[in-house]
Amino acid sequence: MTAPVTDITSARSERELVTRAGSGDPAAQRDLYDRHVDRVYRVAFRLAGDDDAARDITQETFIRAFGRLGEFRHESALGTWLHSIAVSIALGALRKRSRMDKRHVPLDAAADVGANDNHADVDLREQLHAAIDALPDGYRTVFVMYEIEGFSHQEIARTLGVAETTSKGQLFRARAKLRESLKHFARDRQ
Amino acid sequence: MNDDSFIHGQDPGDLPEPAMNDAEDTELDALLARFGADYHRPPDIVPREEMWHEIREQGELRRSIRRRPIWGVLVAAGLLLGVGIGIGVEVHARVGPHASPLAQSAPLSVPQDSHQVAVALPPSRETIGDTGDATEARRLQALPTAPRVAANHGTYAAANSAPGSNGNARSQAYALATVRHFTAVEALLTSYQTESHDARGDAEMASWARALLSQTRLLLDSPAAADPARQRLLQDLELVLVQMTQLSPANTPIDREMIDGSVRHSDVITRLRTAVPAGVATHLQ
Repeated sequence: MTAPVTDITSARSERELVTRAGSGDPAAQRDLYDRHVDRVYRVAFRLAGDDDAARDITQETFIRAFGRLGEFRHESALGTWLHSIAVSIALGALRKRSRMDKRHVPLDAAADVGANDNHADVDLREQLHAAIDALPDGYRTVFVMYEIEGFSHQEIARTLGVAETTSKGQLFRARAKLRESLKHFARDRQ
Repeated sequence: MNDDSFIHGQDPGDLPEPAMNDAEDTELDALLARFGADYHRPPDIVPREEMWHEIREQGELRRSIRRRPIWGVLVAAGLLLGVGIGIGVEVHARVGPHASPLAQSAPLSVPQDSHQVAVALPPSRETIGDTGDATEARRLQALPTAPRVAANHGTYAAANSAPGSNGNARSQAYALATVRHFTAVEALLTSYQTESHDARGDAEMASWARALLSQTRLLLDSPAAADPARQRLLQDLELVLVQMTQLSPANTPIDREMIDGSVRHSDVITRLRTAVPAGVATHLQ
């Protein structure tokens, strides 16, 4: 099947942009930034959960990307490459934050979401979000990218540098954990 | 991806069958359809311009920091050059044809004060002339500055190995390296006092201080610190430099006041100027 002409043109122009941006052309860097920043920021925000962290992750992503554009071999789409940088930075930041949080919060506080609901009127939405928050970072990343941001398993696999089956496995486990957490909540409400 | 849970990810077929049924799965899908999109919902408007501004600023800052470590390289090169020259000259002085029995048997010693530090510095052309080696003086004048300093030093050290002289090539080499280092630290402290304290400036100062801190520690562990006065100065410099490596935009005026206080309290700038005789800095550059 032949690729549409617009796709080819777009890919060629992006390749040229990457070359120019890699050699330090600010206009080309800005162009690439404008094309990809919204999606990178969205993913960063979904994973980090607050604006400051999402900004930091996005900024760091583009700073690193501009510094390493010479290494980009066009083996994947630029967007995928940028997302892989962003997710890597986000997971690093989350691990750091998790270590910080553990100094102040009991270790098992987040693992038991749903089991300690003494108030029947706990909002279902809050409960779902808390259950997602309590997922291990690896599960949560795949879950958020697939279920919420609409990435395919193929895109997730390329972004995270894992096999597609691994991405599917992570999602499967994430859903199983969520069901378990929410079952406690449903039981407590009855 | 280094996340353990990815590394250990398994094929869904390998996973233990969770206790669930289709109803639970449908229920979860319904919940996700209703509330999933609200999870960490990003704002509708992405702060593009603000982030772009930061990216440009941070990118430029990091590039300038990458350029700055040349200071560290230069200082390290100076230190190695000085020590290398000293060892070479010492070998020459001990085994060379003009080596005196006194020079061959003289115990290693270090200069006792800043005046003696100065003897390790390149002598003036007149001094060279006084040795009677006019040809050598003309040759040195023709050399570029840095080799001339090295060559001068070698000539002077060799001349000092004459009978009756206490010229110790190794300690002279360390003294030369120390004076180079003091000159570099003085330049840093002067810049710190005169330049404005913005984010870029702070990062550059911290990077510069880091390079000089490692050199200070090297000198503290070397025979250069055998002289008590020089050791005290190096220790005071170490303290000031450690504080300066912490410079960042997040610093408060109190942090800066602490650095200023250390500089003032230990009077390091005056002591550095005393330890580096006038005019030496020009020779060393």
